Amino acid sequence: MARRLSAVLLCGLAGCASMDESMRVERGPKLRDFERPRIVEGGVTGKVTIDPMAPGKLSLALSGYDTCRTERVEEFAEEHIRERRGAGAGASISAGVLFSAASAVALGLSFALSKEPDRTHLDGAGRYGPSQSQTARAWSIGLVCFGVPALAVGLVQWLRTGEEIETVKVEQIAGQRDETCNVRAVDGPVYLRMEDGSAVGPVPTSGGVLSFEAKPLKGPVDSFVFYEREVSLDEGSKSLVIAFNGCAKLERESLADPAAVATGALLKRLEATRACRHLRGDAVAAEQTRLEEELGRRREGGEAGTFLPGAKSLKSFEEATQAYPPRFTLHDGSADLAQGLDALTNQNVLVRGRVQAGLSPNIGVVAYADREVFVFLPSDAPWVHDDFPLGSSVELVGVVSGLQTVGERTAPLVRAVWMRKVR
Amino acid sequence: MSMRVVAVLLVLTACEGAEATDAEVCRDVVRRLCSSRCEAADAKLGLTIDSNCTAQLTAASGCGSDDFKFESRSAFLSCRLPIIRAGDNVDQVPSCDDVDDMLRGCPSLVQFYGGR
Repeated sequence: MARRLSAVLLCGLAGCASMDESMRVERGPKLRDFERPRIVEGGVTGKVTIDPMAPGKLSLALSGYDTCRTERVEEFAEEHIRERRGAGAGASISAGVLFSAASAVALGLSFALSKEPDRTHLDGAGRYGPSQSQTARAWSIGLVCFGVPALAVGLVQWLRTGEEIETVKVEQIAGQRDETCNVRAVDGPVYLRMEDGSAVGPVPTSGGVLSFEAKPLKGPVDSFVFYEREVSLDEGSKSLVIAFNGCAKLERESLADPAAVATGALLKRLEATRACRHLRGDAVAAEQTRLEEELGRRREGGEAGTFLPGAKSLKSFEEATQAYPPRFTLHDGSADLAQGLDALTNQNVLVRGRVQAGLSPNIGVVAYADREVFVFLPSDAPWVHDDFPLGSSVELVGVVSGLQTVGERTAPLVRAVWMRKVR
Repeated sequence: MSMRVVAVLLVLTACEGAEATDAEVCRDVVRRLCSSRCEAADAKLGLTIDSNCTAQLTAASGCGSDDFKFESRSAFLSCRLPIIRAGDNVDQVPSCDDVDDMLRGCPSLVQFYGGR
């Protein structure tokens, strides 16, 4: 009984045969191409409008949209190959065969050997030593206990060695095209996020449009939030919000005498005035002139802080464009070429043209269309050491300072905030 | 694990031969006593230098006949254990300490072999 149990136990150990398993993936041929339309999350856009007759009231029309995505999908066949290898199968089978054969030989010999007990030994229990036949059978059992499991393990490993191949279809997105779709008016609570981080609202919408007055606001509006998502605005709407903020500031803060205010406040008011002029035009022109004259007087007097904070620390053309958003663009074919000098004076402009001449170390001439402007290059600007050879194409952001005469030439002077070469 | 199982199997299946008769066990003890010839044991068993040890002890115990039977085989085997400490080979000569140990622990064995 004990022998049978032991044999079963040892044979059971054969189940512990370990296998080395590895998986590799091989890409097969492309099966087909197809396009898959999907609708993914879109967003909310806003269009700002301000009635010139009522510049203190801003209207925002909200449009919700989805993103209709068309994915170009390539479908491939892919083979997942699982390889199983019993590393010791050969050695195990060899050992198993050898031990099992030796066991069989010992068992066979046991029948031929003497069954007489070993009378040279008499143990404590009064029994003689085992006969040669018994000894041979014991060896036979010992060898079979090694041989059979080794053989079993080896055979299991050998039988399980091989590879399984599973062929699946896989998709790879080769490209995608997004389009705005399902545009519709949306209604819901809209919060105004102010520049100081506070929120005002909610302001209800009607037919996808909300309106609010500037008077109750205590600061400039920075953006609009619809269900915790910022409403994206186009460039025109952003300009209108800046202009609206400028006019609101003028409404909130009255100014009697420009000479009585600090330079910092003067600069901010001038900035607000320039922005508001987009809406109210000549209604604030007089105040803008007064402020610029006062600022000019202070600059000529060498007073510190007569430039906007950060104006000298601008780091790129893009920053300069943001800090001095151009009201007019002057280049070949631009619609603003028709603007007269009065309209241009004291306005931010974007000029694209060619370097025509250098009149002095800090004044150059840039020509566009059939016109030219003098460009004042501030000596402490970070870009002023760039090379601008004659005939090179440049673009610059600056402020028009009126007509200037240098030698026999007379042209509008643009105080450049940033100038760079373009191809 | 498998080595232990193999060892157990070997013990269970290979280490036992046929059971010796009582006479053979008895004569095995005589053989061991007479091969060692320890002074203290000889005195207890009444043996002298001139004694024929094997003949005297065999005669005293009565195990010269193959039909001999112990009154208690297990008790005799238990008494015999000290003199096979050095080995159960029938030619093994036990030490005098082991012989004295056996005779001291089993006075009945001394009487059995004709001693006092």
